[in-house]
Formats: sequence, C-alpha cells, structure tokens
Amino acid sequence: MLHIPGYYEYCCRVNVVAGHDGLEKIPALLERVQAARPLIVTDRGVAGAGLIDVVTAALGNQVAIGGVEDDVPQDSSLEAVQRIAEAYRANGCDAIIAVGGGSVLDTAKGANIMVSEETDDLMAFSGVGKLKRRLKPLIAIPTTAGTGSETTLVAVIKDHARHQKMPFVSYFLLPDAAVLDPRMTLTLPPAITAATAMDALTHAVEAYTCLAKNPLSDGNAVSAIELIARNLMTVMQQPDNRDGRLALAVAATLAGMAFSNAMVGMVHNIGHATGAVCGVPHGTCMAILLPYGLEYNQHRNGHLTAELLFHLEGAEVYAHTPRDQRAAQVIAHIREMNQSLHAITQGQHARCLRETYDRDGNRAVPFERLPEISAAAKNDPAILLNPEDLDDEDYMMVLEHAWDGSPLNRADIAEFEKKVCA
Amino acid sequence: MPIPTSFEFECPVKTHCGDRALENIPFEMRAMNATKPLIIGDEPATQEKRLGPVLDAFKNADMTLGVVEAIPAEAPESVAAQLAAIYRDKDCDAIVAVGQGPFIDMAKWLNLMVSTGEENPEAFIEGKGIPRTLKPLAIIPSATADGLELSGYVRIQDTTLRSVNLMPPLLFLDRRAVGQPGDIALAETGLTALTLALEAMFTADANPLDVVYARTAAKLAAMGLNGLAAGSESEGPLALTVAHGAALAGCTLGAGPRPPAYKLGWAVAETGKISAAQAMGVMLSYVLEHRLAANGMPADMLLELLDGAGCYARTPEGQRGASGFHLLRDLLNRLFETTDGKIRRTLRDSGLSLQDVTDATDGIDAPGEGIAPGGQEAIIRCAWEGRPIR
Repeated sequence: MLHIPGYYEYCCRVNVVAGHDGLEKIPALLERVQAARPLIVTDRGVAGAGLIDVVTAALGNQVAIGGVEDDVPQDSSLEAVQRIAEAYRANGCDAIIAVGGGSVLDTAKGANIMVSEETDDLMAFSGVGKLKRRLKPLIAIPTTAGTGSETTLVAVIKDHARHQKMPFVSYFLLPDAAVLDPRMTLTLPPAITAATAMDALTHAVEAYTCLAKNPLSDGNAVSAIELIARNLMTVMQQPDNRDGRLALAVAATLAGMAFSNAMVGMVHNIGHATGAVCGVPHGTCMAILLPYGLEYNQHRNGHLTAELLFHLEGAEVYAHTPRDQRAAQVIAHIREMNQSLHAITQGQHARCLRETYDRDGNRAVPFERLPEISAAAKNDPAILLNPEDLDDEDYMMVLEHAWDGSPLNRADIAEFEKKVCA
Repeated sequence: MPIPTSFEFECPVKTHCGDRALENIPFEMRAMNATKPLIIGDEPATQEKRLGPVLDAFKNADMTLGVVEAIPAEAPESVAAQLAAIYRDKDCDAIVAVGQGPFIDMAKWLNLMVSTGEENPEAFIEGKGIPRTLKPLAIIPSATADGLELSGYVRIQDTTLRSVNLMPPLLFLDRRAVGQPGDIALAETGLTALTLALEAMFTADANPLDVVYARTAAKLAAMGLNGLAAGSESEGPLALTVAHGAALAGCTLGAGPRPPAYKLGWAVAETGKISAAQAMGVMLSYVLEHRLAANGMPADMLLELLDGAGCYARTPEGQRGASGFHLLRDLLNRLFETTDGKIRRTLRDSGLSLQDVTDATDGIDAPGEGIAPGGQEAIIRCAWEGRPIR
C-alpha cells in the first residue's frame, strides 16, 4: 500500500555502482569526475584483511594512486582528519577513495572538507548546511553490508581535546559514488555478517514503521527487506556465495537510503545508548532490540508492521496469516531469524542483551547497568520520530525484557496506552 | 526479482512533495549557494496564476528575483537565447521553471547554455561535454506532463540530448502549482507515467534501485487513474498524485533509452488522430505481454502494483499474471466509460485503420529491448483490435 504523507523530502544523490566487477569500474568513475590521483583512506583492520590489495589490483595500471592512509581510528578524530588532509595535499591527490565502515567514511568526509575548502579550520564547517559547493570527488567502498553510511549526508568527527563530537550535515557530504562489490565482504566472519545484515534490516523496518516515512523511502525499505529475507540465511550457510553477498550489499545501501530519508526510532535510540554505555556493537544491539521496538509500538503502527509480512515471508504466508496476526508474525519471524543466526554462529550471535560479552569474556551488559542505558536513551534524539513515547518505566520494561530475551508483556503496553489516553 | 550481476544507478533529483513544498525553494537555493534565481513560467502556468505561490515563497527570502512570465511554446531555441541574455545581464545564478513538457526542455537547455556558455546543442550530442555540475535548476511541474520533465532528456532544435547530468537537481510538487488540467489531460499524464514506470519495472536488466522509483511511480499513476475512472474530482489531491507519479516516472527513465510502448505511442501520435499519451496507454499492456513472454519473465508483480499485496496474495499463483493484465486493460475500459469515450481503449477507437498505425510505426528503427522479430506487428494488431496477444 502507498502511504503518502502531507509533505515529504527525499534525496539520494549517490551514484551507486554495484556488481561482481564493481571495483573495476572505479577508473571510469574517477575519469567521470575528472580525477586521476586518488588517496585511499582506510583502517588497519581493512588493510590487514588484504582488502586494499584487492582494490589496488582491480585498479591496475589505470589509476596512479596518490597514497594509502590506513590508520583511521575506530572513532573518527580531528587528528586523523588533519593527518589525512596533509597527506592528500603532500601527495598532490585530487580525489579520495574511502574503503571501510562509518568511521573511515566520516574521516574521509572531514578530510575532504579541509582539502576542498582549503582550510585548516574544520570546525568552521561544523553544523547543518555550512557547505555551499561541491567538494573533491569521494568514492565510498563499504566493507560490511549493514551501516549504509555510504548513502548518508552526515559526518561526525570527534575532537578529543575538547571532548566534543562535531556533526557536519550537508548534501555536499554525500559521496559521489558508492561501489558495492561482493569481494569486499566475502571474508566477513559469520557473526559480523549476521549482525550487519540485521542492522540493515533494522534500518529498513524502522524507516517503514516510524513517523517520517514517505513513498520512496518505503520503496527502498521493502526492497531491502526482501533482499535480506531471501539471501541472509543462504550467505550464512555459504559464506562465499557471491550473488548472496552482492544482494546483501545492495540491501544495506537500499536500507541506508531508506533511513537517511525517513529516519529511525526507538530501536536505534536504545541501541545507541546500549552501545555508548556498555560498548555492545551496533549491529548486535539492533538485532536484539528490533522485535522489542515493533512490539512496543504495535498499538500505534501495527498495520505497517503487518504489511512487512508480505516482503519478509512472501505472498503465501501473508495470505494464510489472518490480518490481525500479521504484525505478531513479523515480530515472531525476526525472533526466529535471530534464533537461526545464533545457531549458525554457534552462539556468537546474541539473542538478548544477557548473551553479549566483551573482549575479555565478561558480560557486556550487567543487569544492574540497565538504568544507565535508560538514562542515556532519554537524551538520544533518535526517539523523536518513534510512533510512541517512552518514559523511565517504559525504557526499563523494554530493557529488562531485551536483557533476558522474553517477549514484552502486551498488557503492560496496553496499560501505558491507557495512561496516555487518560 | 533477481539482481543483475552488474549495474549502475544515479538519481540526482531531490524531491519536495506536498503541503507548502514551495516554501522550501529559497532554502534549497541558498544551500546551493544561489541568491538570484531567474523564475520562468510558461503560458498555462501564467494564465492559471500558478507563479503567484512560487513568488510568495520568496517573500521573506531576501533574494533578488528575475521573473519572466507567459513564455510561449513556440521557437524554444530563440526564447532560450533571449532568456540566457537576461540571465547573464541580471547576473542570475539559478533557474526556477514552472511549467510542463517542451517548456521544461527549454529550461534545461537554458541552464546548459548559461552553465557552459555553449549555444549549439549539437556540441553535446551523446551527452559529451555536459559538465557534472550545472547551475542550480528547480522544476515545478504541472499535472499536464509528458513524463520527461525530470528525466535526463532535453529536446531542442530537432536535437535530443541525454545525460544524467541534465536531470534537474530540485523538484517541487505542490497542489498550488500543479494546476487543474481537467479529466482528459490528467488521465493522459497518468497514462504516460504508468507507461514509463511499468516499462522500467519489467525489463530484463531492472535493478533494485531503479525499481524503487518505478514501482512508486506506477502505484501513484495507478492510484490517480483509478481515482479518475471512479469519477473522483480531477483537481486537488488527484492532480498532485498524478503529477507526482509523472515526475518520478521521469526519474525512472533518467538518461536511458525510451522504452517500446512510449516510443510507439509517439510514433502513432504523428497521425494526428490520437495523443501520444493515449496511444502508449493503449499499447502498454500489449507491449508488456509480448515482452515478458519473449523474455520468459513473470508478470505477477503487475497485480501487486495495480491492486496491492492483499489482492496479489489471495490470487492463486498461476492466475496472478493474467489478473494483472486484466486489471490494466480494465482500467483503460473504465476510463473510456468515465470520459465518454474520450480516452481510447483501442487504437481502432481513435478512427485509425490498422494500415495507418502500421505506416506510422514503420519508421521506428528498433522498437526496443525485448521485442522479438515480428513482435511489433503483433503488438500493433492486438492494440488496434483490443485483443490480448495470447
């Protein structure tokens, strides 16, 4: 069904190049933007996995690479941005190729602002709409299939000296091109494949079920959901299935376009807080919290959740599920997906917060830290477009259930609804 | 739908659609570093006072506006040259175009001229030399559209240019600016949009990103056409829905080749007995039927697009394709009835003989992807008679 809001905006100006030969198209992309000497920006993990070698081999002799900067930190920092901008200038580069995830891309965007605006004062461009012209060419090559950061117009750079995170928001920050090539994700460990795909699924589902949806973001979302539903388990069982990997990469980009234009809701809100307080990876938080977000909001947007059954499980299941049970079936199916991923990864894919562990093998989210997560969530702006409000009690109720993996008690939510109505 | 093993997608258009969309024009201009837009409107937009709300949107914008109204449809190349002189003389830095069809071609050509300084369209044949970044251009289309407004096509001086770089970066759809075209014109816009969208959707190499635009455009066009067929008022929300579908259908086409039904429709319109929109609307179902059979592609999703997931799911798998085609033809039949026969169901309804249609389409060099040898004749014969191909 087409849902047309009273007003909406939609934009995704990224040129998407996808395919088994995606990397080989980069020379033509550079030529199109009249660039000949790109700087490759990445992190040590990506470089260590040999992915930069794959990229440079694909470029062959057609492109004179200006340099490779492979020390982007896990949290994008001002120092890293300055270092990369200096390398760009020193090597006479004229474009940037960012190979990696969100942090690499944010750092590359920050450096691009500095070299394009010929400034050393990055802070002058912090905020919304400060950039007024096209920057130097930037090509993004994602190395996971989940974040969708290759489609976003935002960069967040941390200034460690001032303990500040500086946001930059502008359509000029959208990469010129995103190259989706399954060779970049073939070696992803199963648990990361699972978590990142569930991250993409969450982007799509929240974009479709929250308040800023529009017909085009809905189209992105349902296409992403169909691709994930049809390909995730295949890739989990056959990690070198290139067609499946390509489908997941395309799904992540579609989901990124969906949430870039329709925003997200309480799953991201609580997930951000859980990540900030306890260091749980973002994709893991999304996978665990997605059924709870849908369950909690069901009295507001259950009709939208119900529509997703068609895309998640296909026409036959949709037709055979009574109308008033379709939303519950979607939620149950997502829990089943988590269960299957848990089994395939031999327990590495967590089904609930209690099952998450830090690098030392300690429980990442001790039960007694849930109030801290709740407090952090209250200050996270991702809640603004959630269909239903949450107070302290609601946050704790959701977190306690997500901690032990039990479904929400619908009666509790009904009580809350009554409270709102009263 | 399987994913092609290699594809590329680009749509530089930012869409603003709905209530008070026009009020966002100054913000978007400023975001693109423009403060002196030249606002141009065609004759219908001026007569219907559709420029008023556009100008009102700039009231508190603190921008210097150039305004040229009532621009005639004739001699677009000389009009563009005159407007380019005004643009340069007044030191403008962006264009806001309010209008439809060939006028929008002229606006896109004007923008290419002022962005590059080149005044001969042949310099850009095959898209060569068209810069990636042109001056900011905002399109405010009406509900009387030819479907190419948001595409990467520019038709000027018997020359057709096409490039993704010619797609306008800004689209504003607002009830106050789409006009009140009347049932027939609105139905024709809807049929054009439906043709472009469905032909984009059902090609062998459709990729998931193209499909997002195509299915949204198709659903909007179908929603508008169904509304008209049910006798709803053609003004207000319905006009916006159809204009919305047509704009997104143009995005779907981008700078790609014109698809078969669209091309055949324009060829048949050369006879002067039926509009291009109606001709393509008549031929759409036959082209799709032939093309899907020739390519071995399922037509099932047509049903979901035209009648939603519920209808699709409750229809047995083996009946979905046929049901989709039935719905498509039934839509045209109902429009025929609602408009007292002014919207044609078949090519014969327009008074054309089969020979007329054959002659009109004979010159088409290649009807397009997926049309098997002899297919064009079969399509034309069936579209003339109103008889399914199979």
